[in-house]
Amino acid sequence: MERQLFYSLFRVSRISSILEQTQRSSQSLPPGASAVLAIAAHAYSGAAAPGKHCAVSDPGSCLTPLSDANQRCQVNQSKKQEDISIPTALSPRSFHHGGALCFSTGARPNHLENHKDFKLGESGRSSAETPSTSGRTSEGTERHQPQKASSPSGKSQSKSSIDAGEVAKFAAMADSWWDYHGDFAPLHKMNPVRCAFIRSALCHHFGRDARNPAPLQGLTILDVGCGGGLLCEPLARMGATVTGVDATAVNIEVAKLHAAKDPAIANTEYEATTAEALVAEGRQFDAVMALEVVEHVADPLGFCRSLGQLCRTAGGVFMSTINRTPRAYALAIGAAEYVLRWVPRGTHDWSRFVTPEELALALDRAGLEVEELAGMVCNPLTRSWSLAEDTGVNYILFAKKIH
Amino acid sequence: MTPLLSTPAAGRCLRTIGTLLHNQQSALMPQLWTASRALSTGTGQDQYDVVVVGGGMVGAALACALGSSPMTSALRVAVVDGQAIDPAAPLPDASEAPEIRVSAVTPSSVNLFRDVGAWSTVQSARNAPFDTMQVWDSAGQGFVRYSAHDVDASVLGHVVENRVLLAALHRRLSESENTHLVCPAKVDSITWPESEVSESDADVRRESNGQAEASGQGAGASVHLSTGKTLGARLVVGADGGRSRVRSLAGLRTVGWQYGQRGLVATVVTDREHSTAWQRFLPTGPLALLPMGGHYSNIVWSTTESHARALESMPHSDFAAAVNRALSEEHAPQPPSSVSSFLPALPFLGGSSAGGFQPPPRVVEAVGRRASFPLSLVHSGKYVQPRLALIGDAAHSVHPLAGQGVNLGFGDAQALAAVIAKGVSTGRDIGELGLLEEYEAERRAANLGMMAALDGLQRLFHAQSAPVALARNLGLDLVQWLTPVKKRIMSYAMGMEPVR
Ligand SMILES: Cc1cc2nc3c(=O)[nH]c(=O)nc-3n(C[C@H](O)[C@H](O)[C@H](O)COP(=O)(O)OP(=O)(O)OC[C@H]3O[C@@H](n4cnc5c(N)ncnc54)[C@H](O)[C@@H]3O)c2cc1C
Repeated sequence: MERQLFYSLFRVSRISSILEQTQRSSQSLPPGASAVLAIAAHAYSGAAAPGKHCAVSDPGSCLTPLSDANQRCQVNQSKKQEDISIPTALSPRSFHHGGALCFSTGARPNHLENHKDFKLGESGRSSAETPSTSGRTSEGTERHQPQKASSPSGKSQSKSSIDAGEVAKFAAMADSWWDYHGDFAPLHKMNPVRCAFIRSALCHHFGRDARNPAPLQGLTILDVGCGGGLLCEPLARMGATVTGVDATAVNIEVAKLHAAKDPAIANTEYEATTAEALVAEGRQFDAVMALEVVEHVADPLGFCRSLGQLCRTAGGVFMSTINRTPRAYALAIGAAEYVLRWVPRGTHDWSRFVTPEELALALDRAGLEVEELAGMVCNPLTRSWSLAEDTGVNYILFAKKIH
Repeated sequence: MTPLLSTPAAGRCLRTIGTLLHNQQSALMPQLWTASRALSTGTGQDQYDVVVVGGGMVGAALACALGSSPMTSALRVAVVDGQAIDPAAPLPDASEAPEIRVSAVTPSSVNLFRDVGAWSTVQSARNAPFDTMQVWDSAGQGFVRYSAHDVDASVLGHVVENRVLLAALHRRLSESENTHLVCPAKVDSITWPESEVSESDADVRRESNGQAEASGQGAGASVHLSTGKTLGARLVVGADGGRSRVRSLAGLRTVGWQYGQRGLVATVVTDREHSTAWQRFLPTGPLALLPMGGHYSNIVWSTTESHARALESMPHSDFAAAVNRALSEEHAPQPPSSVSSFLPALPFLGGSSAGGFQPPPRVVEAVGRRASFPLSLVHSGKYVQPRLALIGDAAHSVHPLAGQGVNLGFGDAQALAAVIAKGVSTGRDIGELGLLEEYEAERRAANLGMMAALDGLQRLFHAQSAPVALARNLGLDLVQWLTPVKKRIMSYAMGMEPVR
């Protein structure tokens, strides 16, 4: 009930070959052409049947645990029965999966190993600029040689998966992290929805009572790319012992200063470091967060591996990002950055957006299995966010560590 | 543990315990000013999560709502009032004549009382449910008669003395573990935290050399009381009534106007028992006769200043006669007791189970004191600011035409408690502007709608020119016969979602 959850049973139910062509070509189109494609995407998503087992509920309310349990049962049932479709906004990449792409939380997604087109950035700007027919990584090869592929997990920060240019961009914005009406207003607005998802998934995963105002007592959480501490602070208030890391030292200073004002969260630790450096130190946590980070990362696959390594055996990883669909382009970049100016220009680079399928694959290779996935949608009139089944633009997922 | 910590002296000794608890991550203190921190400041300031200024009906309802939800019951709440509050005071004797200050509480307000466990107390005292409402005009044939059956409810509301509502809430307050009554104590001043919008910039500049802020106030506000005490608060709630000191200390402006009228309240005895809320629109303003249980009724009469003063001071017998004249005799003839004989049958418009016009009961005598108060409409331009929220009359006071004043306030208390619970569940700082704005957006819309409706009604009924009076009559007749429209108006008046 706190969120709408559905498990990682992705299925591309219908494929329109015409749309496939259009969307494939959209990857190399200039921004101007995307409006047309957005319309096409809408037409398609309108035709797709919504996932019928996904109940919608109020993300903010946590006061009716009974119905929460009911809903879980319902979803679990549906999981057994078969699958939950992702109804809208199929990403360009997902069309290359050809036919049914389906894996369950129980079964290993072996057939994905054969998926040849899946490739997460070897270079900083891979996705959009690399033609879909080239630069493929063989899944099988990579799985069996994990060390090679996860090369960034080195000792020095220069080998970090974070792009130097990206770091500079954020340092310039650090001042405004805690301004509710400032540059990060959209993030402030979206944050409670992310927190509701995290709270619910962690309560479920670790068997905590969701009625408890601070149900995360005793859990250690790492927030990678913590920025000004927007996520660390709520998690600490929910009872968790939180460590926030960010490659940008200015962000860490902002976060420390802000947390020091509130005694309830003053024990939050902040460190200017990277996920890779923490891996090298052998640090592990019950849960690892990387929210709105993977789209700024040069090597998403290596990044996912690091997250997996930072996670304890029984723990899990949360990730959220923007889907790579024409609609996401139109909204997240076109509307949000340029028209509505919700987020500063240059925050996002469409080519780095990752589809849920791609992310699930990357996590799978990092020994993490997606348990829950939800879309986060913004009502453009009220600018209020809620969890939904539409993962076409923003989405958040929880993956548990399996090995 | 928490009551002990509220006294600074005891708190100092408990520092180690507090630290211990903190380290153990006590499940009792989710978002609280943890003991270790509160004491380490050494300022002698009691730390609370919420300081509610004003323990009137609305402020007390908020504190009760916070105390009874699992998500918020661990929050430390202080209720400050300028007057002494005795939660153990006995309920008023139901055999005595009722007080003149009464409220017509809607079913949705009753739900709030039920949720916080205060309704059973109200039920054990005098309260008068009413299942019918009749509104009619002195200038013509128009009348509206609503029945609870029209909206599938058993009652339309309850008329309850304010002191009973207050006592029920105050009893509940004293039962919640983390709620503290601080009274009698007036608010002298409030120190707001540095503007939170620009604080990060300022802090980075000022403290870039690594000196973290060490002042004990953290990001909270400090409420300074007339007793010399200071309370620290994540969130200050202004529930201190129409002339809110908190509102003016926060520098929030209001808009509003005086109606140039006064509302007169009185208790009367009628010739028969009834369970109808009667309201007649007179050229000078509306006169309401509300059932109070037994033969008692309450009068709320809005009229011109001079008329109100005269009514207030005249002898009991004259007053009773004046009410009877105003209700039954003066001005135009009463509407016929069955409208079907007056209007052609219009079956497609739907009928009403409430039936035709009923004459109101006759007042036999007036009892007790009478009082009058100026009528005005006041609305605060903003309800929230970082670490501040206004509720009840502090945010808005309306024309008491439909007895909605306190119900709007209860709606505020309910909404704010829900927003705070939502904030706690997602780990937000409950005083943060972004969260409080959710409360404001929700309640502004609701309150403005009701205020506009009441103000419009007041203006409409105040006009005595023939065309307006005609339209008004026609309007009332149509409303009476257009059942769906009527139902919607009723649900609005009952504080419910519109019925379709
Ligand atoms: C004569 C009259 C008749 C009314 N009739 C009706 C009716 O029939 N139906 C209806 O619904 N509404 C009616 N109303 C409106 C209704 O009474 C108010 O809407 C309601 O009382 C508002 O409640 P409140 O808690 O917001 O404020 P109040 O009831 O005004 O409570 C404010 C509290 O704050 C305290 N306080 C004030 N300043 C300070 C300070 N500086 N420091 C500490 N404490 C402070 C006061 O002691 C008081 O306890 C009537 C109002 C009046 C005046």
